[in-house]
Amino acid sequence: MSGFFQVDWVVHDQSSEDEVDPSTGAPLNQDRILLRHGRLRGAARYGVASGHLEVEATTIDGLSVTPFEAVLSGTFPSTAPELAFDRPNESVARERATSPFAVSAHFGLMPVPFGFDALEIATERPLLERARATQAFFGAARDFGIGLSAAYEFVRISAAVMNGEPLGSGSYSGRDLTRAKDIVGRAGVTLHVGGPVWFEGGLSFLTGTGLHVGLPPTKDSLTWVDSNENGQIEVSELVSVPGSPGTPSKPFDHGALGGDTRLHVEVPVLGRLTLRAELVVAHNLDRSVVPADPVATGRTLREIGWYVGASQELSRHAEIAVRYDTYDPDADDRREQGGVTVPQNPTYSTWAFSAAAKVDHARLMLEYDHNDNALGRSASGAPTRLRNDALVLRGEFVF
Amino acid sequence: MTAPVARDGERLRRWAALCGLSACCATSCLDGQQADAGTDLGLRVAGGALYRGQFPGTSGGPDVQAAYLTETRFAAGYQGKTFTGVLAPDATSAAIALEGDAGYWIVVAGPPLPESPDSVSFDAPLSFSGDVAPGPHRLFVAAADAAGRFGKRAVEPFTLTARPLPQGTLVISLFWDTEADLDLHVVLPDGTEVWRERPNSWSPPRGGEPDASAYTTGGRLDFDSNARCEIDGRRNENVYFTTEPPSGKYIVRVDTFSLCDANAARFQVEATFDGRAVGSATGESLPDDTRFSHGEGAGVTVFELHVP
Repeated sequence: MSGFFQVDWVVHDQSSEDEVDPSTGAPLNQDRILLRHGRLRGAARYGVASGHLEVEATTIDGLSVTPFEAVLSGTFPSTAPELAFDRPNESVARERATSPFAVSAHFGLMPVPFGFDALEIATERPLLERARATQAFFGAARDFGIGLSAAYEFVRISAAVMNGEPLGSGSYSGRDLTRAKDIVGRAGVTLHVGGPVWFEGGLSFLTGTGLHVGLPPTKDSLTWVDSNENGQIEVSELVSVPGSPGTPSKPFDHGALGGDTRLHVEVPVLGRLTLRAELVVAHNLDRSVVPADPVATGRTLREIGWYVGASQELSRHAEIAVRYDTYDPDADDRREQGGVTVPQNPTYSTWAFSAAAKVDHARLMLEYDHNDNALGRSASGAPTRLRNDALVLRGEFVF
Repeated sequence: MTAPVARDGERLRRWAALCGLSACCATSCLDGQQADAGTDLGLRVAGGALYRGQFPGTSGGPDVQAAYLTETRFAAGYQGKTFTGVLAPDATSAAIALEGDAGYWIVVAGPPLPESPDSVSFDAPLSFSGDVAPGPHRLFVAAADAAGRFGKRAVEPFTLTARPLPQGTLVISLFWDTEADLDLHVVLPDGTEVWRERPNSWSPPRGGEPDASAYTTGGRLDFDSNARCEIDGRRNENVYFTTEPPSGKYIVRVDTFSLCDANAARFQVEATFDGRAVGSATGESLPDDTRFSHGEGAGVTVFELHVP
């Protein structure tokens, strides 16, 4: 048995209001203390076969306890460590020094093997959360599927066939809207460059099918339109609203290509320095930030996300990190202004600054996020930033 | 009154100092628009962006060429009031405010109207808080250009009227305080129930042509407010007789059809007979109250009254 929990105090959030969302009833106050992640994992291995079940408790949107991972795995040779999708390749390489080849098969609710950010273990991430593009494409980056991961010397390959509705990716997460499955995978390398320097990099792909959800038919109805706005019902204001036939659901293609790279350097006295970068180019794949529906919009939605970051350990008891990430959910976006169609840039970006103190199994993190977006309106009516900066204190304990 | 934006700035600068961020960074953190639903204001504009503070003064921007309120006398608490207008061709937005409010709303300029093809337009559905008192009021409108310069403000006067209760011999009224869907049910002495599915207790006779005004002899429900959470802002329903009501016992019930995302709704029921108060009760609807049937016979009995 193992697990961890992360408790956040959102000390300040510019978007916070002491109000509730009139359409959803959700509180708009963000300045609160919450259980961001609490995970309990039970795992066992008997020879080639291994399995684990992990559940997550959170209070982000009210109390919720849900399965997070449930994976049956088989690993060959039986003496090799399991090549789980979300284990850092570097550590696997070091543990695996006695065997140049290993392969693991997985079946169940498992990590989505795409890139690095989606898979990084929460307790090892030097920043609070994953980049926005990763959250848009993969939600919680866990989905039902069947997959394979293999390692030979410095080469790492992972691939899986998955439902295509990852956890945390909208109202259908954890289910499957279409018979077609997503195929996702990554091929990469883990190289000990020499001395204190390690390099990791890889290319990832995803191809699959999404679904535009159709509408049910409606009956004819009668409605009152208060045309003269006098509050009185008049015969001329009773309007017949004709019913409409239902519209069928329509599948659409989605996919992504990505590249990720990390460089680790063991700096004397201080500790490990890690530089990281990742780029993902996708189409119709956004599942949660600005859900993509090319049938509704009548065009393919091109999405681009990337980040660069660095983290530096300051002895075994402290670490600082910085990351800039940006995500454009629609590279061809446009808006109407004064009857004229003008292009607009809907890009989200975040500068994240983090400092952490660590002792034994506990970690205390403070992060400031400067979020930029195009969700507000300036006095001229042009899109402008809707203030959304946040300062968050996190306490974490691993057991 | 201190504007929330200013308070926000003070808090942010304090935290920025704690984090060791530069003053320059702190300034950039304050760029843009503050998230604000404006539920405390007298006026809300659907699709508009709220800025707290005084209505902007003239700074050499474009003018408002015309502004149209369909009806300049309408009930307090009106929701979705049509407000359109024409702006000078170089305008990109319009600022709209209720006189005396703590902020103003920015709406994006729309396409030209057929009657003024060389100018741009605005379309701003207005919703008024129930806290805005009946009486004369004024709307301010100003156009802005791409540089954020505002033109001369236009003033649009209007009058909010108190929503009249139906006149009748027997009037039973339900009022409540949040945008929930509550329904008034009144059971008449003969067992007929007046409610949203049967808004008039009168039944046409079998055969023959009824008197054209016979329907007025029944007990009538005037409106199904916030029906199925289509918010209309009335929060009031009345069952009333304009003729002599039947003698006997009346049962008054309140059904909580839905709280429509509100946490609760406090309600008040009043009954008058020939202008005299004959019944009154208050209560509260909670989420559990929505779980029961909402058909005929639904709701909790708030009082009974006897009509001689």
